[in-house]
Amino acid sequence: MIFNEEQRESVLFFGVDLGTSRSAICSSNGTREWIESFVGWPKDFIAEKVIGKSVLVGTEALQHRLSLDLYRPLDRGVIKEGIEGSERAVKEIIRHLIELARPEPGQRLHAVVGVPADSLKINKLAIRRAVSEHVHSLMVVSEPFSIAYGIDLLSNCMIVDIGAGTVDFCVMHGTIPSEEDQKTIFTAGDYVDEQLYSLLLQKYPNSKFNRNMVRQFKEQFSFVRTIDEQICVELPVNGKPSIHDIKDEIRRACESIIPPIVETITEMVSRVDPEFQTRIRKNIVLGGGGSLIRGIAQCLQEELSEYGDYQVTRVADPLLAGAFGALKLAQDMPSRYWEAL
Amino acid sequence: MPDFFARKRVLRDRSRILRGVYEENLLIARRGFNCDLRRKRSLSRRVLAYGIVCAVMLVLHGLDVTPVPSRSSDEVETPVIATDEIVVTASPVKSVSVAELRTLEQKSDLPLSRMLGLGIHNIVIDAGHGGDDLGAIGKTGIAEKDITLDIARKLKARLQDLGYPNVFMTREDDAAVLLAERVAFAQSVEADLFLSIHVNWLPNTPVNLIETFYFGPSRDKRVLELAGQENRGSEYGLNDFKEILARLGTVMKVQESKDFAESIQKSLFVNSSRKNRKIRDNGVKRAPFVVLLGLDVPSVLAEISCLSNPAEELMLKTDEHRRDIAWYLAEGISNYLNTGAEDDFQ
Ligand SMILES: Nc1ncnc2c1ncn2[C@@H]1O[C@H](COP(=O)(O)OP(=O)(O)O)[C@@H](O)[C@H]1O
Ligand SMILES: [Zn+2]
Repeated sequence: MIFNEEQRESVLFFGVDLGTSRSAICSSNGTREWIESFVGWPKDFIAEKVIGKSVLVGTEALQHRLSLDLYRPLDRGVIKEGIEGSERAVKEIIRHLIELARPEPGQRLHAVVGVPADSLKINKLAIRRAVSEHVHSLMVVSEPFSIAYGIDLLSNCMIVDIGAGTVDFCVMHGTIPSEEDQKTIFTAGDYVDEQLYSLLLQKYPNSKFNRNMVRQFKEQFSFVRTIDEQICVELPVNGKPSIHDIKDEIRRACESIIPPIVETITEMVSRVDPEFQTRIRKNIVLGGGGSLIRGIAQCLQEELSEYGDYQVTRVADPLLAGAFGALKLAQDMPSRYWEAL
Repeated sequence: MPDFFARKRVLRDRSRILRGVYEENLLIARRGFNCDLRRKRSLSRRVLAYGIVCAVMLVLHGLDVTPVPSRSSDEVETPVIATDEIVVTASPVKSVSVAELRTLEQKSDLPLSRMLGLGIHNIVIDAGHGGDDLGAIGKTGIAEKDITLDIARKLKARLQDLGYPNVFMTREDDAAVLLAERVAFAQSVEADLFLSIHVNWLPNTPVNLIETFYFGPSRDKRVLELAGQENRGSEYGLNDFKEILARLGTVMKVQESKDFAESIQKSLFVNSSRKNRKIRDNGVKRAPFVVLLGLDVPSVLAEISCLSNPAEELMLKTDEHRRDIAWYLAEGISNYLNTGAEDDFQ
């Protein structure tokens, strides 16, 4: 592709993955970062004095959550409490991500933003409104689609994006996916957290732990089937911290999302024109934070073998794959398209 | 050589995709523009838009299945449903002008009620079965028709508490109501949203699962061919038409019904699974249910759980469990309606 040198110089391209739990940015000047999708505003004047900032984003917002009005803007639960707040929160996340990329003054910013495929979570128009304030030209796409684009799988494959609130499935046919090519189920990362929480609660009724701790256990130790290591954590049982083996609970919680994913994959493949089914079966690609569960690709492949010759792999960098694909889209997009928007 | 062809295909796919992304975003951006215009649009134009919507809905219905009675048509035909194969008959509207389609296309991302600038939502709740039609029967003798009616009543009360005054029920007691009558009723109260409540029965397995259905058009080649024939008079070629229909079909009633179904499914499943870890998410599916057919508003059918599961049957006998389910449904409805409200936020 030939670019006019000058033109190339003055534009900063970036791809953003706006996720329920994490958001990431990749930019043409080499930035590759992700943050937690939390935004908080100090609850009152005093809190603002103490914190010393008028708005906090990411981990910082989580740390000060007690003195903040906290938003996870793409979470439907929060949208209920204030649509206005959510849109403002999206603006803050975008602003923060763009700052991470350090654009030079006067540079034109061209962004492709990937949003969850679950159309409920997000109103594309609202996203456009929230983002366009900070960029010169903008395109919004759905998340599993940008993952596919990033790894050059444009046809005969299926992307399975295992996120926090949803697992999004997307069959690629060489065009932008239609409604029929996409499906969303809700047995995803948060669901694993719920399962693990209740399993641990059953085993240690007298212990104190919250969902946040449980999520950290999961992210540290997650696996399916078998691994050769012990998983022991410190839990305050009866008020005294002591070491406990939670390997079996971790495994059961992680495996709980396998059957619905298997079922959805087979159902979607069966809807495809039989001519292409074989090729799609050999091209199932996992992405999203949930694909970091150790052994999940192998496990899915084995479970699927009952239904045909499947091959399941995982993208190289699940937490950045969406943003990376969005950046690639931004860079490949002919400049006349950018002009028109 | 094969390598050369593969590369060529990738390049072709890529430029098609880039163009697709661009066009889709152009549409969204234009919608933002239309949102502002919409506020200033006079009533008469709304009525005109409504007429076009009805006309095109009829075309769409005509393509999907046999047309059913609709508010804008005097011709009433009997609905015919085929479960395995979609039945195609001629549609009552012969052609739609290019201009009309363009107008529609521009607005087609908006739910119908919103497109017409209506603020109040008329919600119709349909308690499945009734009278002689018992629906599924549990081992302890409890009937689906009684569960659905009780949940429908509780749902109505809950919605009214949440600030939705206009809630209607297709049946208020243990009466037999024909499916077509339910549709006619929903039309007569000018429903904006239609939810049919059922309880599943899986004969061969003890699993307990939740699933939600909506009605959508088909990808059937024959249907698309017919679209070409029916619209031969218009300036569009079959391919243009296919694209517009695909867009209209997805973004209007179908997309809305799917969104609505997902909202219901999500709320039902996420909440139910907290109470019962074994319950399964069977997701949102398309199916040709008669009750979902006749309405040009988002319409879904929820199978709230499985009466065939013995533990679930015992739970369904408790008032508390039925109330919980009603509340989950109310949450799903309210979440759906609130998402739509974002359109009006500036
Ligand atoms: N190592 C890990 N093992 C299992 N789950 C993980 C791991 N790392 C992240 N996750 C989970 O992945 C989910 C977030 O994935 P992500 O793709 O960022 O989702 P979203 O796009 O919905 O924000 C969360 O539920 C998180 O707990
Ligand atoms: Zn029923």
